[in-house]
Amino acid sequence: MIALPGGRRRWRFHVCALMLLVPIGFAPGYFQRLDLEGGAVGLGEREIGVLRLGRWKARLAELDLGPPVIEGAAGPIKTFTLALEGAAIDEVRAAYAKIGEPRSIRSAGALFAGAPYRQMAGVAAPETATGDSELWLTFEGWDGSIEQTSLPLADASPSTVAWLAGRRRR
Amino acid sequence: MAHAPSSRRLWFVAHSWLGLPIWGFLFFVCLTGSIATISQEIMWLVDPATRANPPSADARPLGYDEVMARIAEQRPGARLHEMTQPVKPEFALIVEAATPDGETRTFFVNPYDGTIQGEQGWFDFRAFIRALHGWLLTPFDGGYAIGWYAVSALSIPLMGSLVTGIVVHKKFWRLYLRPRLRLSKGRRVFWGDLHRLVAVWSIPFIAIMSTTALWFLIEAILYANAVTVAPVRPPLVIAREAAPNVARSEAPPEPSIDAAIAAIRAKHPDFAPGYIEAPESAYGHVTVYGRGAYPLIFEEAKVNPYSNEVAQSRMVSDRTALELVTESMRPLHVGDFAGLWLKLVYFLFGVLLTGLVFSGMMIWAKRTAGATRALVRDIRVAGPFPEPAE
Amino acid sequence: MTRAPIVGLVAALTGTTPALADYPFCLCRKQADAIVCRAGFSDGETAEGAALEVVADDGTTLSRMRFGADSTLSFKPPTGGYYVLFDAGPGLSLEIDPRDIR
Repeated sequence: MIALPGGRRRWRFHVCALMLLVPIGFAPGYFQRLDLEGGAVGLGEREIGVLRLGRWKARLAELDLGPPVIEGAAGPIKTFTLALEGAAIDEVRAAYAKIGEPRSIRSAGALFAGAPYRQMAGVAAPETATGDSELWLTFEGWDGSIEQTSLPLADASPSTVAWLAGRRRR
Repeated sequence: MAHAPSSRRLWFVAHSWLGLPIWGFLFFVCLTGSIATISQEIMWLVDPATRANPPSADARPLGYDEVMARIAEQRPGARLHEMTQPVKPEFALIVEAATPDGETRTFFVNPYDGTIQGEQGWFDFRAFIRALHGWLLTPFDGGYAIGWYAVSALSIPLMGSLVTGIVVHKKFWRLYLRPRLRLSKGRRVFWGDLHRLVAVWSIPFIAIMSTTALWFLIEAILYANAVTVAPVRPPLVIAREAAPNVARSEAPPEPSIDAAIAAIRAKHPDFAPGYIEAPESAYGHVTVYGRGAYPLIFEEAKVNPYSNEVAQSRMVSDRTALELVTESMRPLHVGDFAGLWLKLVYFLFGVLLTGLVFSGMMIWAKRTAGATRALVRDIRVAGPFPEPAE
Repeated sequence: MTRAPIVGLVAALTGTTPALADYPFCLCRKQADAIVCRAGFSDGETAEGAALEVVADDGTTLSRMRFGADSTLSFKPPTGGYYVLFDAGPGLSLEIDPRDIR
């Protein structure tokens, strides 16, 4: 079917309006993403809870509720955010996260990057991980001391567990 | 399909209608691109906080560490993410810092006294117009945004229109020698002359825009396939053993931006810092980008914040010829490498190109609408309305 | 999230943070009686200079190698229990379990 132009002016307007629809459709997501990355909406879309590692305290969140993002050959990556609290702000030199228990400090996993108030790490999600797999957090102090804790992946990121299970079924 | 004599015409008209979004799209991209060229200057005009006024005639800019100390006085606990030193001295420093509430804020800071003159609100005009022009606000998830591909793919029709335009008007160069703008021969002749004149003077600009945009398309495709122009060294991090141990009662070490820049300048005296990134972790470096003798290329140096030694640098001389070409594409596209005058030249030609696209769109639209009307009229005359072609 | 230089620059100059970052990978497979590993980063960087270690289950390092420009290394697997450690520095390391090497 050929749509007949109703009038020269009107359809010209429609052409321009049509093109404007594309970015308008993406605009809410764009601003949402900026708020998420800038911390305007809090630590992340889903707060996981408060972690205690020895004398240190921190809050952990999923940056977004979505499933992991595939980063080329590195495979699926899930981003977590961390806020060091109290004494940990000045005492913790580095924080790491890994799915599965690290065998040494050298393989503690992804390094949280950013200011102590809000730092992010993209954690590799192994294809074999399930809800029973553990997310291990390793904190390393400026004095060289090391503290660790872990929580089930089902608590840390239900969306990652569901997504990995869906991939295995296929 | 051969049964109706008008079926080929029908297909031609349908095909023409399919081309419709391209023109509207190209128009939109040219318009937003023109605005993006001078977005920084627009902000300067609109928001006094983005200007850098010296408090007195003999005032000298503070060092970066001193600026950060002043910011810490005004916003206790603020931690630097990155700092932009605009090329033009009339612009305030743009400092992105994390505040203890966990938010990332952008401050406009007077370089002479370290005063936070203003704060970027939730709407960043400059970033928005660039995102609108460059990738239609589509998200970057594990690769370049889909909009990046869509926009940069416009380089193909743009380059095509340039080449076909030159082929159609083979003797275009004559217009440089003898510009022709007939005012007394009626409106059609006048607009035709004006269109050709503007087009001919825009040839170099259109060539630059389409070539650089085509590179952006290639760049994204290469990235998606993990292909790099030259082998890229692994990301640089400080070894765990090289970070100092600090007793619990002592404050952790704080990086000095001034010391980092001094270390770079000791090796590369004409290095001018333009953009500074604070270490992202205890194992990260102070990264400074700047321009050296060759203004098109951003040079980069990473400095160990504990030893203040340059750990890695990528200067103009470190690049291969191919890298020099590919890395010149972006500054050539945006025209931000020579000062305000060049930005205004880019803006002027951007507006001219937007106008060219608009007039092209109008010519095309009239023609297609006319062809459509003629087609429908002919079908009506010939008999009952046929089934639409599949 | 450590951004690659080019990507960092894009982010800097465009004023946004495209979520592009470097994530390490190390893919190992059996080839005859050796294990061949190819490593790199999601942004296309090579693994040149990064370490690959074969570590026994008790934590002792059995062998330590460095990747060259081709980002590929091969080694003979030990007889006892072990794992492979890819190490390009803090946050850029991976453990490869022999069960995942086919």
